[in-house]
Amino acid sequence: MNLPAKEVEPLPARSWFLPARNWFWLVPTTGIFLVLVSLGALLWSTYRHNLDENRRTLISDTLWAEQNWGFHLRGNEAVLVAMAQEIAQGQLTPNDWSLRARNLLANNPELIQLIWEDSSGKEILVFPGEANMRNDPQDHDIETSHDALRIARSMGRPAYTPPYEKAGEGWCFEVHIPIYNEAEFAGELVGVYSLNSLMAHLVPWWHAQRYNLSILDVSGKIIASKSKIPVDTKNPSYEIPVDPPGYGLSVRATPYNQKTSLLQNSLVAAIVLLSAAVIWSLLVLRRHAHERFIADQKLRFTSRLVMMGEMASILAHELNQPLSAITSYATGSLNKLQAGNLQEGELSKVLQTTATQAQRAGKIISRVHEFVRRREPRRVPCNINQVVEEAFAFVEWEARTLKVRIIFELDNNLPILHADSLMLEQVVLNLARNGLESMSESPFASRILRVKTSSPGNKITVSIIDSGCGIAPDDAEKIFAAFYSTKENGMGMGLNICRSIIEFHRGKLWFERSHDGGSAFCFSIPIMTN
Amino acid sequence: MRTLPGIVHIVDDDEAICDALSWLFSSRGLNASTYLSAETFLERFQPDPQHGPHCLLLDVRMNGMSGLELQEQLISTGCSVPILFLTGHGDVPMAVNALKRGAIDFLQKPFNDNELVDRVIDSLDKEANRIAQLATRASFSLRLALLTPREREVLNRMVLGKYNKVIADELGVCVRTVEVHRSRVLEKMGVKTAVELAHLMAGPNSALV
Repeated sequence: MNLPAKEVEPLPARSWFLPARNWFWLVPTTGIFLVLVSLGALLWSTYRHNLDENRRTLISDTLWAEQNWGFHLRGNEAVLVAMAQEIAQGQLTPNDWSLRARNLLANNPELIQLIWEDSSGKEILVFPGEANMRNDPQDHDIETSHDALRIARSMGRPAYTPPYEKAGEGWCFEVHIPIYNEAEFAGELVGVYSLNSLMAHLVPWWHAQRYNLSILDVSGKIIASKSKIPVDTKNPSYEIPVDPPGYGLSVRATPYNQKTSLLQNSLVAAIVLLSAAVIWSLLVLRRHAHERFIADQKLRFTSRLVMMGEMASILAHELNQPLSAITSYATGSLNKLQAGNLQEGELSKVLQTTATQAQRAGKIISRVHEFVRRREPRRVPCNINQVVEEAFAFVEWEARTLKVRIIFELDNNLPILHADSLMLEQVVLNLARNGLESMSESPFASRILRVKTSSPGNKITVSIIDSGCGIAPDDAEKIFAAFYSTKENGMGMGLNICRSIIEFHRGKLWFERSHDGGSAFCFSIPIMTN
Repeated sequence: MRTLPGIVHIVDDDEAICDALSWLFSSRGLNASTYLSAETFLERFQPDPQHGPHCLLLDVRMNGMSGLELQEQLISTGCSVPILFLTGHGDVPMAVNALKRGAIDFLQKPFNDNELVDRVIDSLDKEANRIAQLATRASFSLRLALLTPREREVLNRMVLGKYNKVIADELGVCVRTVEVHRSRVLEKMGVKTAVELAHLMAGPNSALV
């Protein structure tokens, strides 16, 4: 019959509230959750959009730089080719060449040197500088020069050398323009480019402001850079090969740290802060509502007790009057009897008035009884498991603070009970509180409160079993009596009221000692149909 | 049965209580008169010392004027009848207030009846003593007033146990004159010896000297 035990940890993941009240919180919670999710999505998409936009700009700016580069080199190439033609046709005297070279270099500062070689590779003219005075020609210099010359000569069109390092100029490369006189190789023009100058003159300020632009060789080593400002290598960069000169040379643009706008940042911060505030206020609201609910419940409970206390006080006063009259009559009669001066007529009169007072007391009692009987339980069909769960929802908070684990062993196949569910809830709540309080001194590991429902025979039984301090044999007889309490501040009404409620339902309430020293409070109610 | 002097005035709005208490007091030989409200008591009560001492038994809570209000009113009119309170809801501050204002006792229902009677008798005795003392004091002051200034001077010295010769020296008169004064003082104060006189003067009225 019993389902496997369902365990609830001291901090259960389930809601703090009764299922019946959950819908009340479902609407605002879901609403706020959805708002937060859509805000997050909006922020994320804006962020993605920004990234894409930045990347697009990066690519187009890099492409622009590469095109600008190619355009310049091809332009220079065309000028040099024209010059080579003039040389071939013998229209250019050495003097004119020097003049032209000076002009060319002055207009294109990236070109640092122009050389005119004859067909054997001997330098005829060098600007700036003297023939045969090429600054420290290094081996690879000459070799790469020769390679380029060979290509230029065999192809009959301009050829570039790979970059090489030149003292005082940094990395350089050359362009070789063959000079053909009627299909006969008549020498070549060599233009020397400095990469640093190229970078300095071909990259405009607006580009340099946004990107760190560098030239990389085939191995990925930076050989020239527009700016010396270090850049975060983690920033997204874009790299495209540059041709001319080719040879695996590439240009790479890395944006400097992107300054996100202050407005955007504060907007994001505001959204995060507001979301936190909304969640916080929702939590506070829930907590507050819960506490108020508990307080209301307590008030409802104590107001009942206060009413009972008030009634008891009125009853005491009312009964006192006839009772003290009776004792006074009796004492007076005894006094007279002892003194030996009691007359018979006197005595019968006094006995009559005494009897009247006794009747008066009886009437008061029957009036109280009538008053109590007027509050009959309102029997409605109810599910005892639901009653138990609702009662325990009130003590969840206490259970958590006392670190008590509550184990529910509820039989899900119980018949419907016709009972006053509010009263029964009161009983379960009372027994649960007693159970929790009895464990306040126990070691944490053994603080377990078990709640069982079952239906043996034609009745429903609820047991609340604690592992607490138990009940002393001396107290066992008295705990159900009115105004008797083992608690320091107890009124001694709890169990008394509980038993009255259960007896209203024609059931019984009892307690057993559990094997681990704690106590089990149980009640059973017969199943009756209306 | 011997009837004790004095009257107990019972003020309680419960007729049965009044009746039962007066039966109780009569069983111990005490005269009791009952009043069903504070107002009736004020109307009918005559503090006449001719009937011996009086004592008041008051219920705290009554319809109309309460026992405490009645006590207040009696105090304001200068009536010093001893009061015992009876209460079913005797709370401490109320009792403290009543006792501070001079109530003899505060008894909580249910009470031990014969103990109540004992206390009433006790307070009646005290009241009788007080009245007697008042009377003594009245006659004492009257006698003292009969003395001449010279006799008063002699009396003051007699009380201190001085001999006639010393008194005569101090007052600058002859011993014979002091002897005459002394016999007059004893006669006027109604005592026979100087020792008796000293006792009288050392009593509660010594402040008068």
